[in-house]
Amino acid sequence: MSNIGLNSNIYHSTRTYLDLLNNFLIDANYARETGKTYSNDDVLLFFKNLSDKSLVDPEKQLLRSFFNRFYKEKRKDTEKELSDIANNLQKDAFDEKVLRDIEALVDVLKFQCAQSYARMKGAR
Amino acid sequence: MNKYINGTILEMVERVKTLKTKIPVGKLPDCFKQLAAISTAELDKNIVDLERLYKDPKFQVKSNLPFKLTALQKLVYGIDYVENFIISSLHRCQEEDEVLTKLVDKICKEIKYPLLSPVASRLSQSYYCINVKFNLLTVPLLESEFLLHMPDLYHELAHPIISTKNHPSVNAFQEKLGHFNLFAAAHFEEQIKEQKRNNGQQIKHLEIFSESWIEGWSIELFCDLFGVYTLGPAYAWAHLHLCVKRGNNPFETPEHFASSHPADNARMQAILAGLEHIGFKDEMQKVKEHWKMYVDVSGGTMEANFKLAFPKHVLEHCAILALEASKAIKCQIANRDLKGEVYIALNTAWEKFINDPLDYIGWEKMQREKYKV
Repeated sequence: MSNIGLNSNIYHSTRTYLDLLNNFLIDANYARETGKTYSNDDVLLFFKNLSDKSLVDPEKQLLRSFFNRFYKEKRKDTEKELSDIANNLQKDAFDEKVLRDIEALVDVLKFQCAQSYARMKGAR
Repeated sequence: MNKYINGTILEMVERVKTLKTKIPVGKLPDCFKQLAAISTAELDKNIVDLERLYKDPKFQVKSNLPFKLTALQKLVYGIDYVENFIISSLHRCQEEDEVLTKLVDKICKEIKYPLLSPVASRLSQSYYCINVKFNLLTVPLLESEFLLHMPDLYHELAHPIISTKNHPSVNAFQEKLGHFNLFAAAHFEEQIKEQKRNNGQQIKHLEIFSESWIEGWSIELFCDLFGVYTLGPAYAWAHLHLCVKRGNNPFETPEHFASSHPADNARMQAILAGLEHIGFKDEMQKVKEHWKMYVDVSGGTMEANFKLAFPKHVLEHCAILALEASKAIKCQIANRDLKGEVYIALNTAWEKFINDPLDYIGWEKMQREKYKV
């Protein structure tokens, strides 16, 4: 009945995927500097899942809604943007733009994570 | 800056270690030991993650500093969370918390709750609430001693059902919620298209409503309906009671940003539909009458946006899918023949209160002594 149940849900979900995307960016950057290999399977699966409009997982629907608001403000199409990221990640050498696109989504999750935490602590 | 961040990491490691000493291991009742173990494991994981940030070469390269900062901040939030919400409950745990935890366990057994019953603590600064990751339910200090709001515990129990991952016992509930979200999203998409075709003025509002449904309203309504389906009429009365004491405009809709909780009147409409679905038609009528009286007295009026935000058929579909969801996870659905002790106590409490609100307190006092809450 209070905000906490819902926001603790949002907080933990956004935190999990913030981790996933942020770690991917760290790996990608490090690989660029050192040539070390890394796996992008998890992050690719995440974007593949999210670009499916008919997904029934409420947690992914929630994340998609956050991203949708972000893209809408930029007058971009959510489905196309998410599919583009997934397609790009499948290439052997993906372009730099995809990293910037994912970085922007990390900021979206950071904001939602901080906001849900603040709400749990009683701030609006 | 890397040196500064690394110094901060070492400081945080010390804080986490100190936090572990705040768990009063010698004094904890048995039912709190699992929570203590989960918190300790989480703190250990935080230490490992902090050390990784400090030592792993990939976090030391300059181009990764912004992401290292993000990772550190995420960890700091997580540690704050454990300190503020979990360790503080363990630190101040008293005998009454143990009694409350046993009561919640009894409720879970009565309704055939498919997950581990949560630990309960009287440390909430707001209202009934649940921290889903740690399975800790908190209630305000006094609230656990009075029966009329206790039905709201049933709402909180639904949150872990929605958020627990990879658990076959609750998958079906989550899928029903997911299907409902698709239904709601399709409805608003259609409405937005229509507005665009007709140069309508409500596009922004419809977008906000659609976001609100996916990000909060559907979850809150599924939790309300889980409360109705497992407890019956007492849940509906408790919603009325909460609104009478603390409610604002029962028809409130968000203007500029998505909101987390649906309007009180929308919640009541869904709750009433739910009561009818499980055969409590007479009780539903009675609650409905009281709700109307409350709305009249509160001065709330239904604005056009309310109907736009909460279309009747969407609320009704929500009630149907939430019932299918509750049945799919094999929870005990409320009916007149149920004999559960807490089920009877809470529904009887509400019957007593509605029949004679002025004489209720004496009866409740006797019940409190009986249940030692």
